[in-house]
Amino acid sequence: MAQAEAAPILIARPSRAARLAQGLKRAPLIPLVILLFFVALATFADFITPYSSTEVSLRDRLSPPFWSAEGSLRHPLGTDPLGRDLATRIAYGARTSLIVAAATVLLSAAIGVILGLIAGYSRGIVDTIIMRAADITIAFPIILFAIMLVVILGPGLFNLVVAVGVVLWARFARVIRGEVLILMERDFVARARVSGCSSARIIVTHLFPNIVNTMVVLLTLQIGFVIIIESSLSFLGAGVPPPTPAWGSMIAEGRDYTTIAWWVSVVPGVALALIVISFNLLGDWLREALDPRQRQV
Amino acid sequence: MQRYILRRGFQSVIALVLLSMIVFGAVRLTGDPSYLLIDEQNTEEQRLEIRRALGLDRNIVVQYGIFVGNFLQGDFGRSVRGRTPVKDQVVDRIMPSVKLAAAAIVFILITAVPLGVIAAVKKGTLVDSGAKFVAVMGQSLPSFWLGIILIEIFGVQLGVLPTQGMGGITHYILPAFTLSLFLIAGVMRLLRSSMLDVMDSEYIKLARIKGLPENRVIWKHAVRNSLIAVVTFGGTYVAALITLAILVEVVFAWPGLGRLVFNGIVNRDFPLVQTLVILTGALVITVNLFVDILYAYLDPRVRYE
Repeated sequence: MAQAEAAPILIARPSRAARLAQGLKRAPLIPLVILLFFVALATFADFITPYSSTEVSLRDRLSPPFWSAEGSLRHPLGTDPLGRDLATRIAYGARTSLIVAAATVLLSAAIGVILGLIAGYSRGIVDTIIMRAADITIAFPIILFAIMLVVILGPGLFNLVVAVGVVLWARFARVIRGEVLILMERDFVARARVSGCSSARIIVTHLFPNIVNTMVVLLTLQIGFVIIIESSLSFLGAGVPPPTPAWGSMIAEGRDYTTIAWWVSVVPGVALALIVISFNLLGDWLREALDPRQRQV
Repeated sequence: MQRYILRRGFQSVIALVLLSMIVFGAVRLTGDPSYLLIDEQNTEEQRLEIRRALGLDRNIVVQYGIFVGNFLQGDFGRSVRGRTPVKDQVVDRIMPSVKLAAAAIVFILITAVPLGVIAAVKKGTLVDSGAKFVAVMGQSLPSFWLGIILIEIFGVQLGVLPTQGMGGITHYILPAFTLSLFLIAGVMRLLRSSMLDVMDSEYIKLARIKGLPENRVIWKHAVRNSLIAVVTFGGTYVAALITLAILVEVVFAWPGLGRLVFNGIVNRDFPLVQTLVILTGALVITVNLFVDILYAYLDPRVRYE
């Protein structure tokens, strides 16, 4: 066969720095800029705007954005039915969304990564129990479960984070366990064990560093998802309680005004779509750049 | 095959038991559940009556027995508002939700399947990029917001489609489309990648060598096998459909179960929400069971694992 006779082609493996530079070249710049913009907006909201995000001012109600005929630069994105400045509420809403999303994703990642490491490392009955529990949680509609907990505990930021976080861990556990199962076949794990490392040491110093890339990819992809969940719950009235600005409840407040003041629900919707698309595109890129094996997840 | 079905069925029963325990435990998170089952309009006597009926003065095992027993007999308790039986409210709402879901599934099948297949066959072309764009948008745009925008465009500005409630066939167009877009994106992406895998396989090469026309190779041999991957995600899709239906039914004032969930939130009507959580969980578990059996039937390798 021709293949067998051909001389082996040697390809020099590029250095780590070169590969990193190569990867960064294809980084999605626009999503990164959008995300940085929202993070800045959320961080510096207090300094950017002269308005309060919750103070009602009925004299200014339903003022349109600056580009329409009656609009003014006093309220660049217009005002809502209670006369609150929309741009201000978008900035504070970004803060709410990002804090809730980050807290939820970190909570679920902490549970999921620990259980995934334990399941993949110990196998057997422990693995079966953890993974069956993951199967059940993953199959259940997250929003409905969160609604149940919120109805029991009452609405609030903390309850929201816990309600979504205790369901979302399964997505981390499943992928991390798969990774660990592959790692366990590698020589370095066997060597570590032969040299007398304890299970805890193998998990923490040998397995964990190898799943960090996967964890980062999952974190990024799940943030977009959690932001959608949070705003859906806020839209339904089971998320962030008013008057704290949240994009979901802002969209809900604008629903009855679409005919006379379209901007009230369109503006937060655009912000929501932009931030979710950006997180998803960034996550897709990270997945390809950091971890080519995970493309199918 | 029978052994597989039995084993899988047993797992589903365990999942159902776990679900009932989680709901049973969740109600007791804040202490005495009788306070959750009433509202301020109810009298103290009514609360004590609920306590007696649910056996809350007895031990936890008896309580769980009563909880499960009531559910199995179709007694879902009474709603906090008006104290009407939850069962009556739920029964009225089932058909509208089923009809909307069916319309959405038809939408998904007639758009996602051809798009996914063509995107895979014409990989790297404009069609493929277009499909990718639809996928990114479908998975990122919040459905409730999309619904509001569609109402504004087609209902208010153009005035061509009805936007609220049930009625003729045109009432289905906007809600069914809004409900399906996320899943169209998901099914399309999955079908595209599994088509690409299948097109690489030996039996597709054989079918081509035999001289079968390309259309037949793609639509008969490749698509049928690619669809197995979609079937395995059936349970996940049903869960997503239920989640989205809650939002879409609220936006389009659809008289289904999703709106009932919303009423449950607004009134903090725990008996109602608890019933819907358990029924939905049972539905998802059953669908997953059927999907796995169907999968084992389509792909014999699974049965012997």
